[in-house]
Amino acid sequence: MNLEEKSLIKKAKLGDESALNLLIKNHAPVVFNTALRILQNESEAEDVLQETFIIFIKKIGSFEGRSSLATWLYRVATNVAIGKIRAKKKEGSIVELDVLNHEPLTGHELRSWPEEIEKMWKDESIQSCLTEALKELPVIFRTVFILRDLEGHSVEETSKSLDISPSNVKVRLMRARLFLRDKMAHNLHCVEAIS
Amino acid sequence: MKYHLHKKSDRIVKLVHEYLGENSHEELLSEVADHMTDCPECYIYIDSVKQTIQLMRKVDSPNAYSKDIEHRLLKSLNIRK
Repeated sequence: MNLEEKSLIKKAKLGDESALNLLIKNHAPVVFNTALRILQNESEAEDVLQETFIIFIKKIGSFEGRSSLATWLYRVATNVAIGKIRAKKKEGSIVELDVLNHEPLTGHELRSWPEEIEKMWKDESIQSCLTEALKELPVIFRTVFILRDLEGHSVEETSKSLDISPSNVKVRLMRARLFLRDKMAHNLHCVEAIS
Repeated sequence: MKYHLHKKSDRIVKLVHEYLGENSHEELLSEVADHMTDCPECYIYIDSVKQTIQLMRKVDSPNAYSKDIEHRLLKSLNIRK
């Protein structure tokens, strides 16, 4: 946490509304985008944004700065977002884990992806495949993939944000990547069943 | 060329993902690099995982945050703009 942020938090704790305003404005876009990635729904992401900052304002007096404010906000926002998904789908972690207990692509031929793949991201079918694959990815894996691979947090930061062990982060990340990679491979027809 | 990664070589799959992560030890990097020399499937696999992550970063870059959202947020929190 940088000195400017520490100072803003200190002032906000003392009731300085402009400091609080600045802290919220600084962090709100990232909180919103994270919630949007997890929920894939703008209106729900906005709910998460508001709930996250309501919790922040309630708890700022006891915020000790043991983790950075960004990490703290990630933890709150992802928990609120996950809670929303669970409430909606009533899905539990055991069910979610089973979803990824597939045996991806064994008995298939593995081929290199097209060389121009990097340029293909604007292709509608690629975009749709990736977006759908991310939606299909159960939330406990999706959140790890989003924080670690899309937003570039370290394993340690991701582990703190989600309150899970670093090794759990690695396992979930590995399975998320396998899932997404295999979805893409099918889309690109880069696998072929061996007869 | 059979796709062997998941079924036959769980340890290699785990190593590969360590390899793709941060803080990889030199010993690990060297083991994976050695393995890739003898194993075109793993080479293709690692490359495709990297490409998936890159593509996902390009495709999934939500930028829907707006001044309207900020306005509604501050209003809901009773904070002056």
